[in-house]
Amino acid sequence: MSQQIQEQLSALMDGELSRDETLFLMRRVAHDAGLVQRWSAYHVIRQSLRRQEILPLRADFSSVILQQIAAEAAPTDVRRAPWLRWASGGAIAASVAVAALVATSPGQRNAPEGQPLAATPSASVAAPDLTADFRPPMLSPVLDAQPASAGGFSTSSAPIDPRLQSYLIRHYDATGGAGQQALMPYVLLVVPTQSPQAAASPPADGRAGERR
Amino acid sequence: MRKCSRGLASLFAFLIIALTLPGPARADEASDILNAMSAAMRTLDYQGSFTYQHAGRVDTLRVFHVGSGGRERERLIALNGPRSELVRDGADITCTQADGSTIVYSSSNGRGLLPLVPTTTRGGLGEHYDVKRIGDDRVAGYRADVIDVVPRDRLRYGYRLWLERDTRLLLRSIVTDGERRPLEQVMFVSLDIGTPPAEADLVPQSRAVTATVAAAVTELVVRGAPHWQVTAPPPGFTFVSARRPRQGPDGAEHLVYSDGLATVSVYVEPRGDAAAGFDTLAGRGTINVFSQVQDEWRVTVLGDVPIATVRVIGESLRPAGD
Repeated sequence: MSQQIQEQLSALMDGELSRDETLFLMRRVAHDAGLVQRWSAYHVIRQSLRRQEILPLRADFSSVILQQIAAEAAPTDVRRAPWLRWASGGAIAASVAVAALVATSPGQRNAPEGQPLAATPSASVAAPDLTADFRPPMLSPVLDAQPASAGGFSTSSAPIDPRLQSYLIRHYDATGGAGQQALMPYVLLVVPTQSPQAAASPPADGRAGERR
Repeated sequence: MRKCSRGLASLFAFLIIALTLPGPARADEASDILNAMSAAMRTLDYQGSFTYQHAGRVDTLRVFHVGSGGRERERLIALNGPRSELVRDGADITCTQADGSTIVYSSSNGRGLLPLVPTTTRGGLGEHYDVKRIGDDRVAGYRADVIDVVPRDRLRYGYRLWLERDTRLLLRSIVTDGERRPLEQVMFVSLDIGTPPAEADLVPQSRAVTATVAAAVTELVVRGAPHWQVTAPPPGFTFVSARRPRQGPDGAEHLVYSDGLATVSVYVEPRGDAAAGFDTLAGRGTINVFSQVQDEWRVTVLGDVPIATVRVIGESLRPAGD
């Protein structure tokens, strides 16, 4: 890929390439997979920098642009007002290029093009990709927000089952705070009993405490 | 123009390099991170408040912890609901429940006086968990590295850990099940690392001690071969230690199995008046309990692992030599 072609790609990206040059470039792009890749890479970078949503480029974008340029009436009067000249030249080609880009729906995005997303600077801020996998939430839909006065903890007379308490203490003691127990041992021994029935019934009684 | 394209090209190269960063941690690195966290939790001085979110409710607790000076002292207080607290001084634990009953437990293993040998074995951890750093965050005002611990099968839980950048103290953690759904979450909302708590903050509230329940079973480390063994433990779980109750009959034992991260306790006790058959007891938080009567013994398996794991362990417990 010559330096000249690269510069032309850059210029097209910046909306500074003339109509004829755009035509020439697009014809080349149509036959050069390397150029297509570079063009789409430039787009991803530009959109990352502008923090825009990244939309992948459709593979046949150059032919779309060529068709649209062909459909345009050729500019006849180059001595128009400067903004019109700008608009009728490469800038149109550039905006067409953007149109061709946007014309691909995100649903058609393929994996390799989606990849650079992960490298955008904002990704370093612990994007919890996991939240997508996480089904909602630890808080059950049934609110446990009963105030104490409403009998919410008449459970004060039903502390954690002593046998379970003893098991837990010995368990934490035996593991010596190593491994995962270091996370927050003993918390369970202190938090209020969540379901008085489960904790109050002696385990030997049978299946009263069955969970899940 | 040329400048522009060169700029873009070099930025592109930078992005490609950035893509290859933060990769999965090597097995050594992974167990180092977890050991550093475990050590920080034991050896640092800190105090703060945290939320504990589990089973459809949120509780708030306050913790005071002294780790410097070789002896670990700690006090945990429930801030909402019935008043309960736990004070630990070295190996002695005093747990005061909401009704004022107090249980005192004293360990014989000298924990806190000797340097602990981490149960994490290098290599073993990587076989069953994928540990990697996934980003940065900020918790309770501290900068944190976010570490993902993903189990490779459904026999253990996963963890997402927020570790303070310099000290490796745990600031936040989420425990997840086999489908990566959160089961419980602990998160500091205010924290002071490095300031030893006042003496008054490390002793139980005296008014709470109105009744003292008999001390929990005191255990001795079993030297030599234990009476019992798990014949077919789930992949990765290996025997760690055995203890027996000081006053228990021959054969009563407490075995500990671990996969390097999750730990399971197996209690074998005289059957007493327990009925035959098995019963899954109330689980609390992520703790699951499996109980079964085998002949004259009652077997209880307990650990921060899925119900299937405690069950497999419980069902394959046999007297050693059988």
